[in-house]
Amino acid sequence: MKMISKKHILTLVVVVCTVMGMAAQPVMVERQGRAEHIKSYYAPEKGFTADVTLGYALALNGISNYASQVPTPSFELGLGYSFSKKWKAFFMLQTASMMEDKGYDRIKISEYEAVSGEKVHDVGVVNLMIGGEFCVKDFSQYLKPYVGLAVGMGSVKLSTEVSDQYVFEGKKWLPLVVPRIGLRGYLTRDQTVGYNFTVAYTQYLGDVETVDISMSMPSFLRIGAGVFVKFM
Amino acid sequence: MKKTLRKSSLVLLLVASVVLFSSCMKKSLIDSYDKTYAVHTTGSSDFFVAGGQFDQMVAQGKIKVYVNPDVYVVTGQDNAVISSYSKSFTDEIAKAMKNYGYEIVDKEDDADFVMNALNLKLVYSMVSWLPDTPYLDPYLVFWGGYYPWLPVYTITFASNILCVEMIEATSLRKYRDWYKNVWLPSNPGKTPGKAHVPAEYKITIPWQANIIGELEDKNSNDNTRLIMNLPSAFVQSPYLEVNR
Repeated sequence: MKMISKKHILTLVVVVCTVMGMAAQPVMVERQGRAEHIKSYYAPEKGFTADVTLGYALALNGISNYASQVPTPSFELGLGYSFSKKWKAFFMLQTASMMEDKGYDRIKISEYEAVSGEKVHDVGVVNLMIGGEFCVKDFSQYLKPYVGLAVGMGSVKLSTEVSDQYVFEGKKWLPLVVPRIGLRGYLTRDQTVGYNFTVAYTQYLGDVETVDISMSMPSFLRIGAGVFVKFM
Repeated sequence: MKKTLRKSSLVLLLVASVVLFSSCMKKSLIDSYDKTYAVHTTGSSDFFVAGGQFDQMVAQGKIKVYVNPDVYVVTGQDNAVISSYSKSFTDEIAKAMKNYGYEIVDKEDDADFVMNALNLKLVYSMVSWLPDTPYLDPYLVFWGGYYPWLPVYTITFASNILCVEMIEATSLRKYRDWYKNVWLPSNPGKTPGKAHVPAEYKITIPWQANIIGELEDKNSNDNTRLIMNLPSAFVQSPYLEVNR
């Protein structure tokens, strides 16, 4: 994952969004009769959706002791399938990072080894999840609150960097559970392109450690916003 | 047409958001000059097991340390020269060793330990670097080919390092005798590598420190930063203290 820089992710987001937008195919029914000029649109209940959101991750349990000063952008790409107006299943890739400048510090690596200098902590996560989503109430085309739950595996990488000279890393794949709430709505009349606000709580199940911390059951809160496209 | 425009504006909105978010990202390393230094110290666990070595020596009297007054500067381009800040470096080292209970002696032959320091000022140029990663020469690391879509920079970076070593004097004398009487006669003009030295003549180094940072190429700034960080090397190595 190291080789995929943030610029590549941004490019990917733009490309995916553009392609999905082009692939959006509403079912359109043209009525015949006296009002021949009127077109009405039918939004299919079933269909695939592609989601893209950008957001920020706020460090909670475990991570907040390590890196919570500077939240950095988090990206989410999802591919889902709507079974009905209410239910949807999805596969999701999520990345997030958090960092903190800890100032001058001394790290004892072992009884006879130590490093001191300006310390910067960095947490980088990559999560792969599958889950489901339930639309609580269909207020209108523009307002569809939902709740969701996802499970999966996440790569949690802790990185302690000292004065740009020494880097100590700890990385582990951990199982995770992500309950989420959000708000969706269609922005276009043919109900193919919509917005998505989401608040998700990510709870990892396990421990991860590096040279200066042992983190148990880390978690974070992610607030994101983006667009989705219904296609096929 | 309207629909197409609406979709296009959504994509544009997304692109604008992406640009906005990306502007909040961490600054790339290439943008800034870092004045902070790191101090890394390593003690030989074999030597310091339970502090027994020093207790035994205490029983025979004070532990004597000779601080080599000449700190050489190695640039890798010119011949090594003695640093004009040698005295400042060695004064700091002597002061720290005194605080830990050692006796500073003027002659190397009287010493139980020798403190030696070396300043490396090294410049690496034309290095390929992939931003936001630790990868230098990323083409070679990944594929060994040229991939134009990789946003690789060619950079120059320079390191300023002070290496300080505590050398066990008896082993140093034994090594010198071997070098003079065994190695040189059979290998005139050659320097022995680590593998060439028999185990019984290897130098024992109980402790070493590396103080490392970016080279600014302003002599006074570079040396001042090394001197300022030198005490940390001793503070973070409390096992050096003589068991009085």
